[in-house]
Amino acid sequence: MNARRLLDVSLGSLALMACEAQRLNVSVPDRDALIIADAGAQTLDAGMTDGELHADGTWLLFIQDRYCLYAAGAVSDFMVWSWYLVNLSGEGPGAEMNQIYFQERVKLCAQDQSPVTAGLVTYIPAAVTAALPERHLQGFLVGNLPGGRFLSTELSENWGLSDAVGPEDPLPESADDPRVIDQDGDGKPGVTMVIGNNFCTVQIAQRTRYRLSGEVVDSARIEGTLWSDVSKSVFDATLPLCKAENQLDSRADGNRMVMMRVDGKNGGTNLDADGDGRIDCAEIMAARERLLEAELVVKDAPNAARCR
Amino acid sequence: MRMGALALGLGLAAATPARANVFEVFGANERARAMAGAMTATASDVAAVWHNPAGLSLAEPGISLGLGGAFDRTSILMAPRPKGYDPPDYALRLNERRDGGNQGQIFGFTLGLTLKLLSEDVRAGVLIYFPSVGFAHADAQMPDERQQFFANQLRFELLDERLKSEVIALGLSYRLSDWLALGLGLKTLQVANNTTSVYTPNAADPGRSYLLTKLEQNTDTALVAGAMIQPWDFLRLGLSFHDEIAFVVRGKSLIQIRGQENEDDYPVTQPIEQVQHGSVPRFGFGAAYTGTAWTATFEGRWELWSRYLGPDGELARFDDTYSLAGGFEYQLRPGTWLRSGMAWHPSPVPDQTGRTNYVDNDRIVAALGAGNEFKLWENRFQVDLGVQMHALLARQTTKSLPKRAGACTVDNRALCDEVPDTKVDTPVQSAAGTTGLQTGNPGFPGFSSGGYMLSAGVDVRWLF
Repeated sequence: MNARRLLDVSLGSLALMACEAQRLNVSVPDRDALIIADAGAQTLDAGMTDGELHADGTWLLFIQDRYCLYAAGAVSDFMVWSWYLVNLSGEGPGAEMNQIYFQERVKLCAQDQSPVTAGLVTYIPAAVTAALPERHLQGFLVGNLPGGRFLSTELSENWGLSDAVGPEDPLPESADDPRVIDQDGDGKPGVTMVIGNNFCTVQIAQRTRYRLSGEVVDSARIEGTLWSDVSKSVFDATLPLCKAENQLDSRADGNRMVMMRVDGKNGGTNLDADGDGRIDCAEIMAARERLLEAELVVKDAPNAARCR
Repeated sequence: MRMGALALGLGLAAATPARANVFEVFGANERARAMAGAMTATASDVAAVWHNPAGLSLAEPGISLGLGGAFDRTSILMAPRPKGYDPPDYALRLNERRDGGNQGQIFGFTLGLTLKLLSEDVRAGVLIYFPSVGFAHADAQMPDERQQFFANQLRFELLDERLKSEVIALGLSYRLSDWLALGLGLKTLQVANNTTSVYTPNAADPGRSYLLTKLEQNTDTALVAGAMIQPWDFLRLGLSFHDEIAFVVRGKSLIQIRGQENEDDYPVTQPIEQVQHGSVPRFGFGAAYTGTAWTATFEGRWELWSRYLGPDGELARFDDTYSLAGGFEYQLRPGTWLRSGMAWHPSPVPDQTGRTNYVDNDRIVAALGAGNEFKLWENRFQVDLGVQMHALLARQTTKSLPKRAGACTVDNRALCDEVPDTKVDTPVQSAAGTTGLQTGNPGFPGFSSGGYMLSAGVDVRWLF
């Protein structure tokens, strides 16, 4: 009798189990996604310092450039965040006792932008930033203790343009102008920007001018503001919406710059992930999120009300 | 006389909206529920309106009120996603990909009426199911990778939302002779036409758009027809036909964006076509054998699921099915019946190894019930109970990885690549990351489904 009951229960249970869904483990192999640089020896902790700012070394220059953007009948608070690798050298005295003069070698590693019309973001392909040459500037410090003043000569970047286009020259309006170059090597004149998730691409030439000024915060950090000017010529786009004219009005009150030492010396953070004693753009890029999380650099959130 | 009755029936039907289809799954009343829906040859009360209108010729005039629901223990379990197949921003979807099943509230009440019309030979019936979620309930979903942008979850295509729809059906029967009765009925579903006009004065702030909706509701009707043949007292044969019908929302969105007025495609037009609660053409053949105190019935259904439209209005490419049901009714004593039934419903949904994610399972139905007639204040009443267990046999689906994933075009039925291969790096995706398949299809790489539904109900009829 018990055996019969056991059989009945077993058969009943088996029948019910035949209906219960069991989670599948499908044998689709994982695939390598983006290759993300190993954080390696990077540290955001400050190193030892004597309290004075010594320019010689590797620095990160972070710029927030803020505009009111008028496009597609709308106005938005538009921001451009640029990440530069800066090598400072040639430190020497200026005309006055407390003046320090140095050379700057400046290389754009990446640029992010806030969304424009309908939430679309313009992406600057790595091919564009990689093709931009290093720029040479001069910098000055008046005092190297906290409160000292910082000033830099103008940084002018030509995208898709030869250096025949000077800082004050009108931009070429046609892609046929010989001063327009295929800087990113994609076979199209100018440089190619990607808008949205490949929503469209647009060919442009652009000139950006920055004049930086600031104040020494500590031995490894300068904070300040900037004057900026952006000129742009749009040659072609894969969608008419992306070719539409727009107007940028600079909002200097929202501009900010931070220059921070990243070679681990004199109180600076160390972003040398591969331990080769040199900092490159890949190491800056790999550290971006951590720098933002640690609020060593800060991106403001767009606020459309600022432009109304 | 015959033409008059027919005209009256059609007139009534044309004026009345109706929908499917909790009746298709559980039966149109508790007698039907208790006999696993095997009613084509045995329907003899208001349930005949749905199962075989010719059976109304056997129905006593009366009013019925029923209450029924289903307890759901079904599940759709998603297989873990492998790494490296995510499209950009996949982690930012509005809803995270998650398990499905658990079909929510399936509960409602039924109101029925049967009447003699003009003569003993003409009878009419109306049957209405009121779901607890209210009338005109619709909750559409995308059948493929587009679903990732919405609920990002799968559900049972032929159960779930279809069990939350109201049903309004009516029928008319005419007894041509002692051995032959014919019946006609109509079921209708809503057809909505929706035009939404949007003006966006600030493209950077679409939340402040001006929006107007123009909604037009109509009804679509489908024929239900049946015959009952009784060559001998002990044998009754039933034939039934249900035509196809679906709840369709058509229309468009007209979007104006300030600053885009000079573009060629202004205003932007987005067509809408959503199909839900679809029923396909169905033929039923039943035979009932009646003994001294019992009736046994057996029936088959041929359902043309190959005509089923998916939620996007495209053919879902299901297979036609043959399902079987059997029922038994035993008269314990005069006025008291015990009932049981079994049914087998094979799934029309083929293995979803490609782009679409229709979820459905073979179902085995076991049913039990009872009925009792009693008198109260000199009036005759009958109360019926029914219980059904639906076992959804476990099913596993594994997506086929195409050797070379194509773009997500209309013609591509395989798992498709949502990110075209590109040589351009963006901060959200490297060019290398666009190579090969990137998909956010919620069904990728596979899923399993199964479980149980227990439905039960009670109805009371006042026979006058």
